[in-house]
Amino acid sequence: MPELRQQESTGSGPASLLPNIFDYSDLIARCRRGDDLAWEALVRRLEGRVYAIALHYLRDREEARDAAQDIFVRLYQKLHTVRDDKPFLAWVMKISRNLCVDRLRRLSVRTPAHSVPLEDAPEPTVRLPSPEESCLNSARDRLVYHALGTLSERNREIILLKDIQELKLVEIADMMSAPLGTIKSRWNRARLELAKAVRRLEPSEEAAL
Amino acid sequence: MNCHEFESGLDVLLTGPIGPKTRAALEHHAGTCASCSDLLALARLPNQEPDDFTTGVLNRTSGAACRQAEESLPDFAANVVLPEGDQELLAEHLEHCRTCSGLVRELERLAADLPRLSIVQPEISLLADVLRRTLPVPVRLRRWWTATWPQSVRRPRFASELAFAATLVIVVIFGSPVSPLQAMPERAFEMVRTESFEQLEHFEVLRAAAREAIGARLQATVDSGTQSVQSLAAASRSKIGTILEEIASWFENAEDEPPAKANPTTEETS
Ligand SMILES: [Zn+2]
Ligand SMILES: [Zn+2]
Repeated sequence: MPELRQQESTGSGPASLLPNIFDYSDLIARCRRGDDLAWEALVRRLEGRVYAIALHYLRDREEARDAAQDIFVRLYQKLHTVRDDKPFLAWVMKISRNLCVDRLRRLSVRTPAHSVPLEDAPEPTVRLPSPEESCLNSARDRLVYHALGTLSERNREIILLKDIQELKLVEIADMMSAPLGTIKSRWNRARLELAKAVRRLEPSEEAAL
Repeated sequence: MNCHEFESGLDVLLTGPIGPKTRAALEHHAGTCASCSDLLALARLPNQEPDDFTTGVLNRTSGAACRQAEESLPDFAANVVLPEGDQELLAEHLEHCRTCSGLVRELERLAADLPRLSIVQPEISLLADVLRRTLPVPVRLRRWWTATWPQSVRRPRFASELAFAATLVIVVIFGSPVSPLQAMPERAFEMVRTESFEQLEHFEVLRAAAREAIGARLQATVDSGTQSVQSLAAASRSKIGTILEEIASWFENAEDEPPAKANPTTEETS
């Protein structure tokens, strides 16, 4: 159950110091009754996750920030439509995804697509960490993030939803309105592509004893 | 580096990836230590030659099997049981293929690492921005409306609040540049100057102005306006006294006698 992961409330904020007595359904119920404090708590709890989704889709810190805000506004407006029998986080991700995909589409109209298939990608040269990578804690995380950037948007998305956000394949298939088999094989290709990309990018120091 | 360290580093030296520093240290030790250099030579023997041989045959026949192997690597790395036979053949390939076995290790590592990326704290919290955007006007207004409407009808100040809202509505009706009723107050004023004050008291002037300004096709607007203003007046009678009442009674009169049909079009456009 990803909803119940302890990691959810851990973060740099003071929220992590408080006992985690509310689960999402409590907070949502309070939000529906107009409890602003519950909404604030919910934002705090989801902030890191929503920002991560936006960052993985948009791969730009400022864009991700704007998108994450838009996502929260949309969540707030639609909170009354949440159904108790559906996993809340999957719902959050569905809304997040739709907004990010829309934004990505608008961005790609403005600037030509920049995603390069792995086979054609130039060999990585000495690289400085990009601004968005500075939010990521370890060198390994930054490496993986960078490798994700070499994937096609489609492949990156399936890694994001399945491996990073840990949705079920059925949920992803539903979200993308695609057959489960298609999603499964896309996931396999994406994982393989990512593993290859990481090995190509791996800084030599990584293998130190 | 001692011999024990060399032995534990041997695997990495053979299968990579390996950093230049580590590689240099290992090779330096092998260069200075006879037993370790023998070990290295031995270790390189069985791994390289058969692979090269098999690769040579494969290149002349089916081509490398890696492409087929790769398809199953993600499942293999995730311990998904492959169809019978595939599992064993793949395991055998992995024993000999550094590229594929390296990929399996990487896939296993990624499976452990990726969930960590599910949460990225923004450098500056989004909270303030989100609250600013979610709590103010449109949403808040809607929330206030659904929350307070049922009780507000019973509140003491409700009537005057409603009267204020009604005044706004009237300003919009008469003040809007697109409103066909816009010209009416002006015409009424004109008439007030020319007609007697007594007539004004009985709203004859207003009614006349209405007849002139309002065409037959505005009847529907008047009807609905009459209803709402009547109810507004009832609610606000105690609070703002006569103003709305007067307007309401004017609407009542206007309703009693449908506006005259004489020359409506010429007046509307003015
Ligand atoms: Zn030695
Ligand atoms: Zn292979």
